[in-house]
Order: sequence, then C-alpha cells, then structure tokens
Amino acid sequence: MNENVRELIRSKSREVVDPAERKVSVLEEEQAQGIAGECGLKIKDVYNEAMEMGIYPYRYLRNMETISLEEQIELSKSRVAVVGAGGLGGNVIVLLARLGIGHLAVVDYDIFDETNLNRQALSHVNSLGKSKSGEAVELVRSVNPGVHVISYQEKLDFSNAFEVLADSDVVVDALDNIPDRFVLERACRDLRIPFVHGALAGFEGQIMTIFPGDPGLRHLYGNERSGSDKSKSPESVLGVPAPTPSLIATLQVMEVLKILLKRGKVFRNMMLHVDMETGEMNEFVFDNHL
Amino acid sequence: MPLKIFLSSTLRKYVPGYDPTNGVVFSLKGERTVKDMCEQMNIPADKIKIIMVNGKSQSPDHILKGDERVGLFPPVGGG
Repeated sequence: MNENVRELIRSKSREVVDPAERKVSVLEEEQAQGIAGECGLKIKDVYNEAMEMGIYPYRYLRNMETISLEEQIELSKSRVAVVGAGGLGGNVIVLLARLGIGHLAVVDYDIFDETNLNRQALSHVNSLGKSKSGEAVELVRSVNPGVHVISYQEKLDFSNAFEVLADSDVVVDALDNIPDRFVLERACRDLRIPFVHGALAGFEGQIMTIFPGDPGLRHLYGNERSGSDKSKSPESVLGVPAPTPSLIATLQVMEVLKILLKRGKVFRNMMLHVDMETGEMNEFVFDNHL
Repeated sequence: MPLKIFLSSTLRKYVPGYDPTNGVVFSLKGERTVKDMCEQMNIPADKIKIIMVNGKSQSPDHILKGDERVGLFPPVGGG
C-alpha cells in the first residue's frame, strides 16, 4: 500500500470517544468508500490498511475489546464457505458479514418460497421465487461492503466441491438434510478443512465442530444411509420455528470465530445440544473409537 | 438416586405426558442394558441414534447401574 493511501486514511480519520470513554481513531464508511474510489481499491483493502495503522473502521468500534484490532484484521483475511442459505445459513451469513469475514462463499441451489418466511433470515415477501444464494449476496453487500462475497446457485457435490470450498479456512454446514451433510463432510475431509455442523428440529438443536480426521457425523448419525426417509425425520414432523435456527446459527458462528482466532473452547468430538423450551444446554462427549 | 431418562424431540411421543424439564424417573430391576430399558419404556430401538449416559456416548448394550442420567436422541438433520 503506498504512502498516498496511508496519508489519505490518516487525514480522513477522526478521533472519537467510545462508550467506555476511550479516545479512538476511526475511519467512517463514507470516507473509506471515498478513498477506495479515489485510489482504485476495494473498501476491504482500505479498512485493512487503516487497521494496520491502528485506526478502527468505525463500523467495528463496538467490537472493542472483545475482538481486538489484530483479530479484526485476522477475520478480514479469513475465508469462510457457508453451505446452505436457509434457516441456519441465512442467520450465519448475516452474522459473518457483520463480523467482517473477508471472503464469504455461499452455496445454495434453492429459491425462496412462502414456507421459508417463518424462519429464514434472508427471506421476505419480495424475495419469494428468488435465489437464496443471490439474496445472500445482496444482503452481505448491504450489511458490509468490506466483505467479498461470491455465490454458487448449485447443489454441492463431489464435482463442484473443490472449486467451491478449496480456499476456505472454515466451512459451515447449514444444510437441511443428513445425506447432503455427509457429502459436505467428505469434501471437507478431502480438502483438510475444519467444518462446523449444526442441525435442528422443533425447539432443539445441536452443533459439533469437525476437523479432518475426526469421526464427525458418524457420531451423530451412524452411517450415511441415516435420514434417508425424510418424511419421518424429526425436523419434518416437528417443523423448524424461527428461534431455533437463529440460536444454532449463532453457536455455529461462535465456533467459526474460535477456530479462526484460535481462542476459547471448540466443541470437537462432542455435541453441544440445546433445548430452548427447557432452557438447557448440555455437552455430550463422544468416544473417539467407533 | 433413581435412573433419570431424558428424551429428545420425536422420541418424547413414546412416553405419554413426558415432562421435558424433569425427564422420566425410572426404576430398573436388576442389571439391565440401555436396550432393555428402551424396550421396557416402549421406545423403538431403531428410532434412537445417540445414547448418552452421564454425558458420554454409549452403545445400546451398555449396562446401567440404575442411578444414571440417560439422554436418548433421534437423528436430527433440519436446518
């Protein structure tokens, strides 16, 4: 980055006092957009340079001190793929965009229909009939232009998994059926990418983080034939009301954050199970030897 | 302390009046496996995918002492 850009960032930044009464140098979105336009850069590059100079993008000010400036830079350099842009995926995508993940890949072949409106964060009356992955792109750009987002309106299978997932640091399993989850797990295992599983039915849900080499989904579902009778599945019988995907997605995003920033406790080889009706959250540990 | 059984999602329908907060208190006669317990409770074995005994996964053949907390889960895949 040349000195001209740095000088522009310096001159366009200003000092603010945050709610904890700390003086902080910030760069507002409008100024960052202006610098990006003037210098032929992406806003993400301007923000990264500002952060390297110790200047907070104003939009991230309220992440302080829970997410440090160094960590914010790390997130900006990270690449996350979200497979599924429905109940779980919609919420996951919104949160990852707000967090400032640098590169998001969104995969979903489906279009929105009216039954999605009860829970899917990206669905609204005007998006019915439109592509879920396409709507995800629109939303991400409107929430955070500092995130580079790419969409794939296709079903993930072994023919496209490499192209879609290969450069990801973490993959989020936001699918809605068991057989597809096994396909994703296998692809992630082959590509040596950690992935964060989440699933739900009714007011209950579960997450598990799976690293390459972990037994993973076999713990939760047994073999790959599990769940092939979709009509009898708990999610078909009990439905999927809004609070559950919202919470499970939040927990999945926390796993992504912990993996990327190498902090906290990751739920690996265990299932974090939530029953929202009783308010219980329990960890269940799996024996590694299946 | 007696055996306490917690059922997840669609397994709850097999125990009429199931209370999700307190689970089911169950007394075992003699040495019994998880499979025996499920049979006694009329919960079909093929509907259960995960068995947790005191927070750790176990097989249907796991022998219960009679004072554990048991969680039974079907395969949940919605999203």
